[in-house]
Amino acid sequence: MSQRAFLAGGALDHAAFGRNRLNAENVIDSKNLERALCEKPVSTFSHRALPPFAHAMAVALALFAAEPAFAGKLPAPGSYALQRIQAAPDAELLDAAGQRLRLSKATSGAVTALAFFYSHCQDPAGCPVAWSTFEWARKEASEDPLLKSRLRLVFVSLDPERDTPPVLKLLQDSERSDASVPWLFLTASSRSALAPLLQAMGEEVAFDVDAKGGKTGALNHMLKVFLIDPEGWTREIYTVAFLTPENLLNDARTLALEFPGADNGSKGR
Amino acid sequence: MASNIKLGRKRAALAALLCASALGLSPAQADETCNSPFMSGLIKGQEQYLHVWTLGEKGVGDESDKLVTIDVIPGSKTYGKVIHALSVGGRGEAHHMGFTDDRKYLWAGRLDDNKIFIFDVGTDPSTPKLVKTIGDLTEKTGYVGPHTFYALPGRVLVQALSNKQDHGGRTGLITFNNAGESIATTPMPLENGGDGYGYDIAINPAENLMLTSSFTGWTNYMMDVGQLLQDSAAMKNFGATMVLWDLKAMKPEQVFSVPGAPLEIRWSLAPGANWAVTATALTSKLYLVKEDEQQQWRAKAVADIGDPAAIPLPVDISIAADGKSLWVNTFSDGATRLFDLSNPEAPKEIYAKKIGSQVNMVSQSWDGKRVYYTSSLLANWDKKGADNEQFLKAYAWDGKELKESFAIDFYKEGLGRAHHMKFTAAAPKAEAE
Repeated sequence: MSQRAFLAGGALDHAAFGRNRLNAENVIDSKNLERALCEKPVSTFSHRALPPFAHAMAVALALFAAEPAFAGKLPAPGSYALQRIQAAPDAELLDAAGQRLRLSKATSGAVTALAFFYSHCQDPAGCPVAWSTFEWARKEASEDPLLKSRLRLVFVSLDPERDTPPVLKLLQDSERSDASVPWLFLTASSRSALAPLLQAMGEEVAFDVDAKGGKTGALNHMLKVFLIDPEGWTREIYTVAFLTPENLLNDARTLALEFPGADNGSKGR
Repeated sequence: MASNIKLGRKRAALAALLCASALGLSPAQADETCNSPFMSGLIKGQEQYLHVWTLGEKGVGDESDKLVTIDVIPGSKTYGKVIHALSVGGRGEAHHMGFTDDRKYLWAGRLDDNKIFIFDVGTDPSTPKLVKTIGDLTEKTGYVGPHTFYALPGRVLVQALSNKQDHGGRTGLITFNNAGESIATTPMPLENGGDGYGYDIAINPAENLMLTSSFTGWTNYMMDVGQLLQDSAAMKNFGATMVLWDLKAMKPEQVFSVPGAPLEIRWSLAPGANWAVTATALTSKLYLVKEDEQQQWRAKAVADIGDPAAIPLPVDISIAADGKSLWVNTFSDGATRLFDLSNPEAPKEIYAKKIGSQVNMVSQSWDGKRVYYTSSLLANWDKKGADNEQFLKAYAWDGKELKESFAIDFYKEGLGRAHHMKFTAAAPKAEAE
């Protein structure tokens, strides 16, 4: 995919991104792509003013501004069945208030979209895509009678050392609090406490290293979003090849129709 | 004002983020052009190891089916040599392989005894390890002949070739999770022109589309090819369709008439392209699957492969990463042919070379500079006597000529019949969690 196709008017073009078959664009040209994004002026900031960390912001905000679209024709919600891929594993995590919370408690009873992320992530094909997808999905779902009381969003940090509960609170507070669909930000007490969950969910994480073998601070991982039903079964796993709000919401509506009693707890708020 | 405040808060939150370079996990450093779009770690560059799923043969080595690993790192002391061979026991018509989405495991099937072997190639690709054998496919699903292994997120989609009732061509798809548990079966369609046959799988995730092709059942693929060609009734039992599926719903949307056993399917990988090609084994034609001007998907013959009257028997194909060319092997004359696909509506053969007395599979590197060939089609369809050459041959492609880099005689090495190939590379040196 050309960088021109990827960047439609300075914003990520979801329709163009991942349009072609092999999941190769984001890896083949990942370095070049990232470089191009950093070098291209993004409407929100002037290029000269961009400190390194702002590149992530620019990319993220460009993502927020993009109107996502799915090129393919999706079947009507409820007209198909999502496979029961695997039982979602459990783990003890921490919420943004620092309170211990079983992951199963955060996912059971509702239709849950769960993504792993870390706040230092700057890969434009990584965490920012999940973030923007969740924002769009949350906005739409909060106005959808079928989903607003049944869908829940969960972000779990891959980086417990840096993504402490206060950092999670900052991120959580940056999102609108009046949306019907809750968005939980979770972390773990340590990397070792998180490791079994990552392994069970097939989310491989490795420290990125420079030419001298020193850690760069980045965590290499593949973007995945898990859709979990109210009984704890993983029913879809989205990769960058087909992660869009339309796709996610279509499947979430299918599960909401399958589980009409699903409850995200928003009715009591 | 409210939106400005909100944006300001968002910026403030995001400003807390530190700069880091996240490049996405890339466990492999090279790859082919025919893998699932859901696979991670596809990076152009130099592949390091080539794995060949090899049919054991009586009187050759330990006579067992085996996964053979060859060092293909230029400059390596063992470049072009077999560095590992893992026998799995018995002979069950070893055939095709496919990676899981995380690229850590390689699934390999046998068409006769229906076993599926799962190899760990992520820990150390130079020495694959057998970690699981699925031996109850037919008992659990009724399907026979696990052929194509195609990665879905967290799952492997397996296309079978046959069934246990009549060992004919009616068959289905089986979805496994990555742990090797069967979670769904989907019969190939018999309605709207469907013949129920299966062969290959190719997915276009952005369009929510899957294509399948059709070959033949156990009775035919296990029959001696000389006997088969004389059996007019058996020769009618070949697939003549391709199916376009709604991937999400796993429901057939359209059945195309594609006579003559359409085999491997390749979607174009070119940016903006939205078409796929296949080759028909018995009628020697390239077919294009594409939307027409009315947004109707069609399959149409767009080129002959060699002289169809001579039955060159097209087998494997390999599309270039830019979608502009296609290698097509023809088993009967042992040739590989390069087609110009710049206009997919009218492919043109622009180069041909005889690889051996017989040739079946072809795999090219992402940059197209290296092309690998193996010889075996099916144990009972391979040529006899001196023409039954069994090899892996590697070539360098400079855009004009294939030049041999190395060749391995699989009989002299005591290995067997060389069939499907897959590339791997060692993981980059990063401290794993």
